[in-house]
Amino acid sequence: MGYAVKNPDKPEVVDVGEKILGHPQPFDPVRSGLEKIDSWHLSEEMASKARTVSGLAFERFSSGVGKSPDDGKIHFLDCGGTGSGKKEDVLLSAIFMAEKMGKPALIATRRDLVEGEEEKAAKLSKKYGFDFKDKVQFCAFDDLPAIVKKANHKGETFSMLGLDESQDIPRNPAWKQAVDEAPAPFVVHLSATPFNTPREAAYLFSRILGKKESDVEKALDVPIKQVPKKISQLTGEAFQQGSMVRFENPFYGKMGGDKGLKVYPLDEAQTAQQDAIARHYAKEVQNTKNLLQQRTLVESYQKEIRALSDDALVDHAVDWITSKLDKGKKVIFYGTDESVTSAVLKDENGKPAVLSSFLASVQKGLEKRLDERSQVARMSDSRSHDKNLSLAQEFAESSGWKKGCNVLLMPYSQAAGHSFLNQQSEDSPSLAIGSGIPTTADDLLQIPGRGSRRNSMGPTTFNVLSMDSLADYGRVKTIEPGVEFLQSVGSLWAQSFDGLSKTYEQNAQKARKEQSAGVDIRRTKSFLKQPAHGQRQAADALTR
Amino acid sequence: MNDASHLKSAYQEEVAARLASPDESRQHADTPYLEQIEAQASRDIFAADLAFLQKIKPSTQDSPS
Repeated sequence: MGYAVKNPDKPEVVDVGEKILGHPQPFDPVRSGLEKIDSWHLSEEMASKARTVSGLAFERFSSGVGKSPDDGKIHFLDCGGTGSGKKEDVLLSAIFMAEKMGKPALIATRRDLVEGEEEKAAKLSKKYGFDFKDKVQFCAFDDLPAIVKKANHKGETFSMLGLDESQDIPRNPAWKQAVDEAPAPFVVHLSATPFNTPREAAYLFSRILGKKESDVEKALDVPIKQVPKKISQLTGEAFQQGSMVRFENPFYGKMGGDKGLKVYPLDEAQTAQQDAIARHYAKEVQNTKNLLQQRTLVESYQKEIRALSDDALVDHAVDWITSKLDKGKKVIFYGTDESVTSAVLKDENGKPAVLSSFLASVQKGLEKRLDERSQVARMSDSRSHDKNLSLAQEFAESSGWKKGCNVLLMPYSQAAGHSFLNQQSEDSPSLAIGSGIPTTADDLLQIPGRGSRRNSMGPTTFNVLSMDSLADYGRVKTIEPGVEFLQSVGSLWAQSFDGLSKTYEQNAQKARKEQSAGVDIRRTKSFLKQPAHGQRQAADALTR
Repeated sequence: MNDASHLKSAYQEEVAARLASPDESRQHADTPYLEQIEAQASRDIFAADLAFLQKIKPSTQDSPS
């Protein structure tokens, strides 16, 4: 998949439901009466997207079907991704419903967000010239019970209830009761993470599908391995019914070769080392029946086998990074940041071999091969937050690839932070993002997100690099169920990793064939000041 | 089949067996699904690693002191 950036200041969003399933009835602004919104002089991107969401919500409400048996209301969920414009959606829906029904709409959210919602409404009102003051009220979730009680006492009604950060509602019984009892026939839920927990999923699915919450709870009460399939089924139902819409900011990038997942073969020495580690721990495990000892041994085995695999990946990562620098890109690369002392492998002095942190080894490898035009910044879990922050800022602020810091190495633990790495200026250099196999499926989504948004110099290239090793096979199998879950809630980016372990195995087979045929997978580029040579700490280590 | 392929196919068998094994754990209502799913997957891979180490031919050399 790939998305070109037409205008970095006007991010496009993609309708996930339409992309995955297609909406049963394409939205028709004339049929719903929403053509009036055209006269509000909304900007093109806001009018088109917010109008679509408001229109789909209105069609759901006006259909009269799908009333929740628990509260008698018709619910609609806008679960667009972060920054996709949900606040604009609900404001437009609220104004429209207030005008249509002649009653004000009520929008509730967390207390810390109320002021921001009001400011946003005022800004949009000024920009587009519509008046929301008598049509929309804002309140905090905390105040909802009192407002509902008062309205019910006075016999007042609202045209619509909007709930921003709606996933918080089922966590608080008083808020949930207030929503159930609110004198409003329609509810628009906003949440970028709507089915995060079983409790939230049961609440939101039951409301938008018009089913009893207890029935949905039972339907979702399946073994955890079956959850992605069940969530996928309910999400599909909601898309088909038109009770849910999800817009997502696309990854402004493209997958690198091999469907984004590169797999490199172990060489003879690495294979022998892997074999030695596995058979050493096999002997230890088979020599004890003590479960605690076995557990400790497996943990040590996993650490060691993973460190060996990462060590084998170092040269390939250095190659990949330098090849991107050759193409005039800056590079962010993610990996592990832990050194492991081997119980099996020995160094040249016969002492236990130390398998250095992957990122530290990549940095050393790069420093030997890059010329003076490049600087490498490496963040580390052992450094202070401030130091890591200044390194990331140094990378973000170096505008050109020919000078300054053009490579940033980051531990997986930093994947979800540092939003300033999202390049937004028009002269931002082109970027490539690479990674080993991350620890969690969420990291797999977060990693390409860094720097890829609004990258104005063309799409960001993204690759996951791995070895055809026992460790990386295990890692792929560990994150695959999480990727399947993220696919089930409609993540377009997760869709691009469909069949992760199958792709891994296909690419591993291809790599083994190339290795057997003697294909040289290493590169030597003009950018390098000296030919590639091994950086593995344990490359010359003796196996026992 | 060389050593690497033999080990890997033995490992793949164990992983497949663990991933296909029934999952008796109960869901926790307020713990994110993703966390629960990944914890289960980690447990499966751990069990596969243990089963793999219990089955393959062990090293014939002494353990390091």
